[in-house]
Amino acid sequence: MKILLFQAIISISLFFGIWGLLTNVNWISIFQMERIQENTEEKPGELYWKLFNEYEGVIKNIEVLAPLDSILSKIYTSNNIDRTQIKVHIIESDEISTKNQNPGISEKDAMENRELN
Amino acid sequence: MISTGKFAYEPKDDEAEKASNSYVMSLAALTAGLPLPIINLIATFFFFIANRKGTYFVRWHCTQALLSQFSLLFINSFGFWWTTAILFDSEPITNRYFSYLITAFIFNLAEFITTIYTAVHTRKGIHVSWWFYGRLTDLLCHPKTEIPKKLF
Repeated sequence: MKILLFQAIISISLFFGIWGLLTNVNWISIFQMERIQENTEEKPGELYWKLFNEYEGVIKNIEVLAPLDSILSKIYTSNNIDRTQIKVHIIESDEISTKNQNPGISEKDAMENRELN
Repeated sequence: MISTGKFAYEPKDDEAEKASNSYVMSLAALTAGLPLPIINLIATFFFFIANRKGTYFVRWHCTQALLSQFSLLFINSFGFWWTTAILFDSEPITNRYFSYLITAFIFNLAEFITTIYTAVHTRKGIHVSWWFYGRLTDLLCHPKTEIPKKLF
């Protein structure tokens, strides 16, 4: 019985020992997982952009882009964001996203009040 | 890891064949063409049930084959659920995960090689006892032990 317990402990220790030793190897870089993940994330992004470009109106008017660019430049500078890492696309859409400041009135009334003002 | 020796008695040819088949059952997944180790366990279990009233040599080797499959079940199940969590629950892929998969693969491969070796030698009537599982089988399987009918 003692030998059996000893063998059981050795077997379990061997398993965890091998697992522990192999954990020290950087498998992520060996299998290039980060690059695969980036490529995988990039492809749906490109697909979505292709769809937006074909079916939604992309605004390329300099009168819209220029003021937006100066606003964004200030945001990038204040927040230490590398602007080369970000791409901004402006799309024409009928959907409006509003935040109701007054919880006592409905979203629709809040939108109408803003339009009148 | 493996030791060969003499059994309590000299097994007959049909006993050697049945005992060898218990190890062949644990390679069932290979014949099914599926990478599912659970099939090995199921096949080995049913073979064990079918031979629970067999001779000591047959029962002994069926028990050893079944016990080795059980330990692999824990290793493989943990790996399977970890993989499921990564695929469906946004669990991150880490070095620990890869190292676990490789460790599980090593143990499965070692068991596979040992099973083939044992199947070949048992067919010749040679008694093959595995590290840890052989002793555990000695504890559980006795010359006159039969599995009670009520359990199954």
